[in-house]
Amino acid sequence: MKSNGSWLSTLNPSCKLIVHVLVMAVLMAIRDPLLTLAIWLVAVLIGISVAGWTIGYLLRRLLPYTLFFVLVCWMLATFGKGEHVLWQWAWFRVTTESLNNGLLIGLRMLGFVTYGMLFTSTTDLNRMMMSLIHQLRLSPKWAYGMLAGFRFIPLFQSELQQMKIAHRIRGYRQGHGGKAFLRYALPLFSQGVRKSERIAIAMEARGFTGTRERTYYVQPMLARRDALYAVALLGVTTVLIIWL
Amino acid sequence: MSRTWNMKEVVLAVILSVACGVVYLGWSTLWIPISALVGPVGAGFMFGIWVIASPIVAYIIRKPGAALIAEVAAAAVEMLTGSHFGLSALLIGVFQGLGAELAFAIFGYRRFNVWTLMLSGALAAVGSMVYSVIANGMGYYTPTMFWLTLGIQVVSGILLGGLLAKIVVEALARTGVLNSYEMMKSRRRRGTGNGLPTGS
Repeated sequence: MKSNGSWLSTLNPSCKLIVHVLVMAVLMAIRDPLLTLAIWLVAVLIGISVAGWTIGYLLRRLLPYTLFFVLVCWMLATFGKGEHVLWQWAWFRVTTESLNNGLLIGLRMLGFVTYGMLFTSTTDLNRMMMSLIHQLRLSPKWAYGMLAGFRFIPLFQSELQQMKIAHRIRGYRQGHGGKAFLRYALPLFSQGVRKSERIAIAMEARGFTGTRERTYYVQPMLARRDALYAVALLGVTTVLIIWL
Repeated sequence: MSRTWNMKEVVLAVILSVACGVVYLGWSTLWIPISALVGPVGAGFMFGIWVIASPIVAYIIRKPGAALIAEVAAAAVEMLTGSHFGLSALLIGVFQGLGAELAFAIFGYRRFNVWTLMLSGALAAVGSMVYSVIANGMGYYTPTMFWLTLGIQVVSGILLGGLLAKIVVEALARTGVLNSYEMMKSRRRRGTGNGLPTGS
């Protein structure tokens, strides 16, 4: 998660997070496909106008998901419940209700992904953690603990890959289920436990106590533009709900 | 048992969850070919792995909040590795984590054994289904589809989530890396030797 230098990325991460989760909650409560479509279009407009998305980026990112949502829409339309049969063939049974539901859910998932992308493509992880400390009162112990832990994602990924290759070179054929899980997870976890112990000791040895009384390199604050964005986005959503 | 977390436990919880999150990513690539073969309902049997972070971390650390934090941190891996399911993945993590946490909360965080671990796997599946009903329209499927999927996911949560977590943690304990954590401490207090399971 990195900032992309757009106007949206200058907003306070906590504020942005809360506003987007609120809009996603609204999307969950809505049962009208047309309204869902409108709220999704708002996200696309925000993306193009203030989040620095180009049309190419948008297509590249959203197209694979769109195919997935067409699939979900199809599954719901054919396997969903409903009374008024529109079309029936073999075990596929499309009703007006199920088609409506399929469209609704497909668009809702698309909306989720787009609002999620608006957040993840414009937010820097470090700034977000700092903002969680200052705006949402997260304990620094947890914020820095998580920052330290998240740095290990690429390392664990390459370790897992290495183990897979090491197994293959010795002629192990990958099985499925619990056994395959144990084979890779155990070394990964035991190394992880050792690493975590060393990190914790290193942090404490450098005087990290996890209390709030400490100095901060960056202190994200709330500015007028945060209020502006929150009011504008929630306002537009409310207007759409009333209007449509 | 102290309820405040020390630094060692915080970092352990996060790192183990991150490791689980990385395994989840690998599991997802395994899931796609299998679901193409046996269909989404059949592939629901693989669901349990996605909720294993909670029982593993809660079983080792044994503190309120451990199960919830573990699942959220594991879900955050998906967000941070650039999957644009991003925020929704995090929300599912919150629902699964709340389910898993409930299993330990109803026993007042005093029972940590294979049964509560399995219960936490099952409740994580229920939590996941609650999210699916609210967000993904699971309730719009025919009742048979709905209950079948829920049933399969609960069974998978019990076996691949709870039971497998127990096996993983016991195996980890035998390597000795967990000796300074609550799980082994409580075993030593109860006087079962060095805290290792018998026969090892």
